[in-house]
Amino acid sequence: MGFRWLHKVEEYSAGILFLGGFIVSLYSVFMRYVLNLPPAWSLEIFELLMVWSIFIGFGIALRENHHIVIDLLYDKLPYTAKRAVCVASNFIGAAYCIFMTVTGVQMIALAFEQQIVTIDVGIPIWVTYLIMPVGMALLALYFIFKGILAIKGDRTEIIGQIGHDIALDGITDDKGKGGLHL
Amino acid sequence: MSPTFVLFFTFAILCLIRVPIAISLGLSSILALTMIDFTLYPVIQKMFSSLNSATLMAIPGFVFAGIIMSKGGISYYLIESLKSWVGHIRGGLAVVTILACMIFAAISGSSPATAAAIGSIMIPGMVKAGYSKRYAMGLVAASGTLGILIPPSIPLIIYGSVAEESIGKLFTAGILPGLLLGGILLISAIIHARVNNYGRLPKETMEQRWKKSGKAVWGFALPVLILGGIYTGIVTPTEAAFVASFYGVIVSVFIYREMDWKKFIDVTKESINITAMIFLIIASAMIFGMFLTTEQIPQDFTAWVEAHAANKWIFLIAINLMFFILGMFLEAIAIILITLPILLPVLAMFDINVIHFAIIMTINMELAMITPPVGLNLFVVSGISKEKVGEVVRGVIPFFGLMILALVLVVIFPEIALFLTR
Repeated sequence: MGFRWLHKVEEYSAGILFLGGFIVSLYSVFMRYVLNLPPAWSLEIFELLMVWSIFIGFGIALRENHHIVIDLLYDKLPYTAKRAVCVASNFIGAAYCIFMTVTGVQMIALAFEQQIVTIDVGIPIWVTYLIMPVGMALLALYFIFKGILAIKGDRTEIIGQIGHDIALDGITDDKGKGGLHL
Repeated sequence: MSPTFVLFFTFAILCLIRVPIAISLGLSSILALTMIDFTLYPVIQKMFSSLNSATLMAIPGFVFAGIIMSKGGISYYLIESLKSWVGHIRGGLAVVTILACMIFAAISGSSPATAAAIGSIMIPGMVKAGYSKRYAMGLVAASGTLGILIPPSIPLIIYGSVAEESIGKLFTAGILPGLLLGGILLISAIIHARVNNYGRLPKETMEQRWKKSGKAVWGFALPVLILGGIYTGIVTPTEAAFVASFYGVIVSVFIYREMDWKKFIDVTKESINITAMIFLIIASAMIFGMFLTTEQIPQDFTAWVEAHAANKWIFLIAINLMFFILGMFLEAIAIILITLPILLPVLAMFDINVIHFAIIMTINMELAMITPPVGLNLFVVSGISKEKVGEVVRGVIPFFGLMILALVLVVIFPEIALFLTR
């Protein structure tokens, strides 16, 4: 359905930023030890790329049910109660993320006025903050999607595959789980 | 109602209704901060800027290295080589499992990753050789926890960033306790296999052994590369993680030929997923930490302990029990981030070495990975072996005793952790 393109945009941008950070890290080690010319900009750029990649990753990780939840009580609930709890928890998550998005925008506005720049490279600090509302808005978006699925009574969303949906390191195939695949 | 009470109460409620732990912690901290009339904007700004830390960026690196290891054939060839050397003795496959976990632990910093990488190959192998499946699952869940004790270690990176300790030193401190616990597991595994008369593999010739080891040598070299690089100070832990990942990619693509473009994309995507999961908890914990600082909770707690706990030993016993109970419900990273800022001043008061305590805490976190109802390794093993979590729990119970034995030894003899750091 309609959001495939968004998933692709997220995955590609997070992936490119992550691999970009990976390359910058290798580059700085190479320059320092092989050519003896440590680049002054590399650490700041490395951190920036990684943080950006991670913030975009928040939403992806929620979509694929990677965030850790405790479903001790949840597993014991009857289906109707599960559905209600599932709706509530997703909208609580969304509310928190919307709050963070708004605060992120305020953060940018203030930093824009203050005109502070980063120490090594001189990037305006508000630019580095841009990812904060973006990442949090994406996370909010997926909480809302999951909440809506739960309202509609989507069984995989509510029950998940084997009762818990923690999968680290891909041992469970994401496609089989109750992840969001619109 | 005091803001602190509101914080812990809402955190518990949110966790119980299945709000992700990270969101529960962040939301309850924000609520508590609002109650004490705190301007939230600087809190969020500080949270964001503290994520921008070169130390924490070692986490994506080691996550990446671990996944490349397991998907690129490196762990497979390591296991093949180990099997050829010890597979024929009784209990040989259990020994291979533990040794493979130890080597994998020296490359990856995560316990679930270790259990997943080794377990997916070794559990079927052990069952085939006549091991009870319950035992095989328990063994993998328990030895997999070595992932966070033997350096590199994600919890130790987080500990170091909270306690402002050198990551290199913390890693060094994990080596001997890791070998100790590995050794205890090895001895128990051999005894267990002899008592139960488990099957073994046919003995291989020296020629086959060297051939397989030659193929695996690229994997064996990786821990040396990572730890050597960090201890000689050539690279920072963060750089070591990415250099190791690069090495892993080269070996899997050009030597083992097990990694194509598509697989590499999957590995990257998975690394981002897991890193994001960890960092969302860290971000919330930063907000929580700011609440603690403003409310001076650590100082109050220290004063309370001073008034109530007679001595260091009572304090240590109480703390270990607390970790055990928290470990039943929370996962390691959240526990460290929530408790450590409160505990640090108390450590100073009782004159407990911060590095020694890091190792005590890490062994407790290993236990947390296998204590039901919430234990990541239990879920991972249940996932790869397609058995109920309860069945894995039954398998892992005998290992609690062994791990607690190692914990007690490390608590009583700080030198096990500190010796190499001097």
